[in-house]
Amino acid sequence: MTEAIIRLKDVEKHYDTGAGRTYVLRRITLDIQAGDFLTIMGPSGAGKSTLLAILGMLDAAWAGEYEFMGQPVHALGRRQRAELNKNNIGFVFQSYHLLDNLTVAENLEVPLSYKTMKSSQRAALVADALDRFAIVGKKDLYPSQLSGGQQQLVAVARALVGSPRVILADEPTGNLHSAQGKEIMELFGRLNEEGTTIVQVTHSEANAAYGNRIVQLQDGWIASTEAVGGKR
Amino acid sequence: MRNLLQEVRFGGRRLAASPGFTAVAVITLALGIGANAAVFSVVHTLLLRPLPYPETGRLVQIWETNAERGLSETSVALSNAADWKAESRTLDALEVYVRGGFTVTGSGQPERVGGVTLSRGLLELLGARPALGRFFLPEEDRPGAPPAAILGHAFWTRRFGGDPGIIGSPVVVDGLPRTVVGVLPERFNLLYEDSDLLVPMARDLALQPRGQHSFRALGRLAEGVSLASARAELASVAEAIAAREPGNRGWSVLLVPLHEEIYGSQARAALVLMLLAAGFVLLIACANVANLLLARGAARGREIAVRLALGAGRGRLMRLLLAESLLLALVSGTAGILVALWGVDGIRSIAPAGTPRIDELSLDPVVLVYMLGLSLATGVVFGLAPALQSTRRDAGEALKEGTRVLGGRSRRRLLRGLVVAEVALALVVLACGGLMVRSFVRVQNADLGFDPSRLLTLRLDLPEARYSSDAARAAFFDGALLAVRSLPGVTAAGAVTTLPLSGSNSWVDLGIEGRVTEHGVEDPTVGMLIIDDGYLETMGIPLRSGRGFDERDTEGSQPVVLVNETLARRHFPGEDPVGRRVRPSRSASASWRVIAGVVADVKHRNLVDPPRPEVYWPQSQAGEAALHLVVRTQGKPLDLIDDVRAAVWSVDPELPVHAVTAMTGHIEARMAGPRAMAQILGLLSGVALLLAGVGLYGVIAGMVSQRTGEIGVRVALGAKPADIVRLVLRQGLGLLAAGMGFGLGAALGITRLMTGLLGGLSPADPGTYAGIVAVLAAVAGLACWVPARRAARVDPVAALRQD
Repeated sequence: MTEAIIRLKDVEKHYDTGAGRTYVLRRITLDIQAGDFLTIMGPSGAGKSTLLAILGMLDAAWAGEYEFMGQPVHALGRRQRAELNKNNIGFVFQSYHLLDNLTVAENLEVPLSYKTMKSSQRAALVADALDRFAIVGKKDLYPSQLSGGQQQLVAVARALVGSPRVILADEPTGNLHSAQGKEIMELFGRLNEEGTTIVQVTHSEANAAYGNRIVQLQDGWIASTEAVGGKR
Repeated sequence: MRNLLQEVRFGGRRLAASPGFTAVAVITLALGIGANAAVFSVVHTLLLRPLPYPETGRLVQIWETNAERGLSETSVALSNAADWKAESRTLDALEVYVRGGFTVTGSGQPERVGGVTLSRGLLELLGARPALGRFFLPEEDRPGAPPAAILGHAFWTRRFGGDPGIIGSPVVVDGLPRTVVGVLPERFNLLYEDSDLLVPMARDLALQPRGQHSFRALGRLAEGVSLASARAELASVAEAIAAREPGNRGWSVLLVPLHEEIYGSQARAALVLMLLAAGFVLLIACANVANLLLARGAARGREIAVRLALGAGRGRLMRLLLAESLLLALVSGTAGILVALWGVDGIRSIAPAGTPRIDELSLDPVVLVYMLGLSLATGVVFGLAPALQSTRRDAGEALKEGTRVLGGRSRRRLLRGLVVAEVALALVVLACGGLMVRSFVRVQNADLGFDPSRLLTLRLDLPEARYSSDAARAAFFDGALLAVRSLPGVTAAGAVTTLPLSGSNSWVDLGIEGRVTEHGVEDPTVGMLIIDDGYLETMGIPLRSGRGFDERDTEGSQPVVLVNETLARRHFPGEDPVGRRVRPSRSASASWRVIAGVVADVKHRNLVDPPRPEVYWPQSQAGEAALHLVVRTQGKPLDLIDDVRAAVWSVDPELPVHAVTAMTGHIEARMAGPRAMAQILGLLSGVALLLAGVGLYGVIAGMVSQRTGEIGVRVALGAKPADIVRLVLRQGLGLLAAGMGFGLGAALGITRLMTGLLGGLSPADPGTYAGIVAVLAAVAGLACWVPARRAARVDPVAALRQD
């Protein structure tokens, strides 16, 4: 039995509106083991992206307990959470979210620039990532000069450049056509095989098949958890 | 460090990628920074930079005052100055001087030059070293000493070709040969007086009459002595003198730091006010750019959220955003140098002629460092609020909401707050400018008491050596005026000792028959002018009762005077003074003079102060040696200069004719200060109005664009275009009203600083405030109307589809 890298207990999130309190997440209790490839699914408004944002420590307004690598996130301050995030988590977004005014190489360098690291070391890591994802030839191009698939490839490279323990991906293939989407999912599969924990949010059954566990959310509650075999 | 450089580089790239935004922001900020730098360069040059004299902080100008006579800053009597010097322990130096004109003859054309008669220690007190020769010896500053002179550098160069052999040579000054002993250094400035020629006082100060308040005195505080203690000591010395000298009753001493004396409290207040107004314009510019950045911040919400998600701390994000703001501010500051250069040139060209050190105005290193500091501060001011706003929210929500992340309620509140602040600041600047312009117009239209049109004025100073008797002087002026009056194109001509609006005139303690007090100490002090019998008619000064001077008033006839209406009203209330007798009260031997007539008041001191009591002596009974001729012409007065000069020279070909100008030019010169203030504050008001209008337009247009969907729904539900216009206008005018409320409160407080600058106009003048509120409301109304009209034309189908 591997150790849980992420442990949620009774996590809840709500908004106060004029009409009363609206819950987005209810009593989420979930363990994610190191090396897991977890898929979160559910209809729109079920709370998938909110859960992902909490896992990524981008959202601080929730209740309950959350341990990340044994550290009680619920008890940490904003600064410590940000520290934990930047050292261990990589993000991939549906709409890539590359920074338009930066080149490919500069986009890859952004997460490294927020770590305490010598510039030579940063340059070496960026060069490695460009090489690993075969995008050396595009390092000086701007995002607008790339196709959607290429942009998402760069976004994945950016998420991985700091060697995070966990990748959180929100609809990573949502804006890609099927061939490009398949390419990205296969890449995730390979990364997971290499030991990276992956949590993805998706509507796609095919994408979910790349993982080993599916959590179904419904109206903020966990409706079911099932293990899947994976395509690998 | 590399991160910082990288952030600056990215900032530069972002600015280059949005040339429209960058251009608008740079122009807006450059206007604000440049205007501030230009005004600061004046403040720095005139107020902050020390005067070019050693121990300048210890130098004090000394005046006499007499509260009983309403005399606040009067020239000093030499004997009083001698007593102060002997009895004061708080002053370690005290020198006296009097400015004046000299006629230089001998080699070359006769020439009238400006100069100073001084006690010999003055040059040493001011730290001057001779460029050539030496300064006066003690024995040259004693009565009966061989006459000596020192030449100003420019005069020496101009008239004597910079000949070093001039030392020891004679130069004829007012008909008297004087030996040139030295030449002043080239850049030396003698208290900003004309200093072509200096001659020693050469009098025994203690023996001079105490009633002759004609000299200036400069003192130096002893080491470690405060101004307050010197003031107290000199006041008690003056009190002791008054106790033993009955004629000195009521006289005291006023010490004014030299720097304050040269620039005056009004100039200081004016400069502080201009700096304040320019500062407000810059704040409005900052608010405008902050609005633009907030709008961009909304679009940058995604980038900020992504960076947060990628591990950026808020500090780093703030640094990134501020780096961009600071870069923008520095680029604007650089562009602001051009605005400042233009501003400095403009200020120099409109500053009143003779403003001390105005020619030194420049963008020197101190001003450039100020600009750098101002630019950086500006960058923080306009960049901080949007940066804080942009980095405040959780990245999770931000990413979810996409580009609308920063369009939330708090951002709208900030935008509205900035617009309210802009309107309030603009109203304050407009109030300052409006009051200044209104005061200027009021002063310009003030009744001067005479008709200044088609008047030529020139000054003639008769040298003592050739015109030693009253009769000779009277004969010259009679002859000269006769020659001038006979010129074609001349309708009238007259003469006077002091032209209207000259800032000062002579005064006399006037004994009124039946009311003369012991030693004349309680007799009224009144202004005194000497005029010829053609002056009143030439100037168009109306006679109120009695008669003017005429051919009956000769040296041997009944001595007469004229008085002005203020004198008649104040000292002969309810009675006609014509026929009453007066005389100078200090001189028991002086003849009684009959008041022959009462004339209308004329503004002699300045355009603002109410007229003071004045008495006119006839030149035929005074024999004055220095008079201004006033010549009424049919055509343009300046066209007759050569003819008038020739007419004067037909009587005395060696007499210099100087200070030739049209009366309107003379008045214009007196108006230069208020005009410059009105122009500068008017310009700043215009810029403030424009920027506030643009700011309001930007915010309302942005709000309209955000509410397009809502407007579409309203139109679909039956709203008419007028309803939509009303909806948008209500929003804009609400902000306008809030801004005006705050602005009016602030303006009423701040404009109190202007009290001394407004020539009697109240700083709370309701007419001015009504005007500026109307102008601001019109501009702001237009700024809201344009987007409101656009909103009214929204196509509901397209708007709903878009939403």
